Amino acid sequence: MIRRSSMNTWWAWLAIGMSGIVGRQQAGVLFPSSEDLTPGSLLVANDPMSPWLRTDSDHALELTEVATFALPHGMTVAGAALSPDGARVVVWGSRPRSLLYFERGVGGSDRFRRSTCRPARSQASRFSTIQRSASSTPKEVCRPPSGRLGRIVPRGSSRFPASVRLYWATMAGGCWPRGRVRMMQPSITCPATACRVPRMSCRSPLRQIGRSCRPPPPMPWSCFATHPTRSGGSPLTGRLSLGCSRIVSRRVEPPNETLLHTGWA
Amino acid sequence: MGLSALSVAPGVVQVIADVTSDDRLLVTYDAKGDVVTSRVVQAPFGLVAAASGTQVLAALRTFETSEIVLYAWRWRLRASAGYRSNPERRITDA
Repeated sequence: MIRRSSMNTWWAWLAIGMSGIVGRQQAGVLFPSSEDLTPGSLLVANDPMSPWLRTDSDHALELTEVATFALPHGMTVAGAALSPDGARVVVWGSRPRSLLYFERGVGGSDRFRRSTCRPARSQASRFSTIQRSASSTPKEVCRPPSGRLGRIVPRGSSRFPASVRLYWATMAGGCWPRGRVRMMQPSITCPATACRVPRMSCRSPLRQIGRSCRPPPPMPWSCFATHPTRSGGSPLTGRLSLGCSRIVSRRVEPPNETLLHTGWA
Repeated sequence: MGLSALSVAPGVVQVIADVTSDDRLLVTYDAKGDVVTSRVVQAPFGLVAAASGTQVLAALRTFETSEIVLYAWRWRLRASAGYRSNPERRITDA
């Protein structure tokens, strides 16, 4: 942490022209300021004074500050992760154990939304390390899209930032095989609608419902009208048969209930 | 202590921190891993995450309080408009 006393060093650094981070008064934090410098930019170019200089590259990496999120005082940050679009940040605090969620305002607004897991929730939403042992049975895990914190979260301790990427994956909804996942690859995410359920062979009359074999739910009665001349009825009676049956395992049971017999119109 | 190396395509940027002081060495590498630029920053500053879909980096910096800062990044030629070898001159957003 920069102390007031060390600000002199900061200013000296600025004065000798190696500055990039420039200052302003923001959220009660004093930054060095200079009208000669663009606020919030940092140019990573070769510094002639640097003993690390190894090349004479003409390229420089310019960093321009676009958003700032103040963290709670005294928080120890274990890591952070950015959403792919760079609009959302998750910060994982190890002390106190916490999870902060920041989101940039829409349309370039400077207002940010900050959500913090409440303690009880945060306890329940500790990130987990995905099981990676060879003995673990891969299971596909699907989650619906969720924008809420603490909803997801597997168990166990976390390794950052993989777990955070898991969080983002979950935020977007998707499915991935537990135990096989390579969390460092954001491509593990997939649309929730793309979650595939493995096909199982179920003994009749059980049917696969979700990931298990269960008795089929009672089917509603399917009611019909039988034209006597086309379905074996007596043309002499000239009667239309109305009945109901239900379908079980692709086999249509014969009508077991006749609701009405009526004559031809 | 080296922090995460973050992709700034086609290169990589990394902060190497001297944990005993506020000195931070920012190093950029090209795709082959050769050092492109390096720069010492005397501030508790570390790049911690990169967005995969856009040119944004997240940094943690601590002055009197800690904050997360999002930086838009881009590569530029030293000779391009806005860049001056004399850092006291204005660094503009070309």
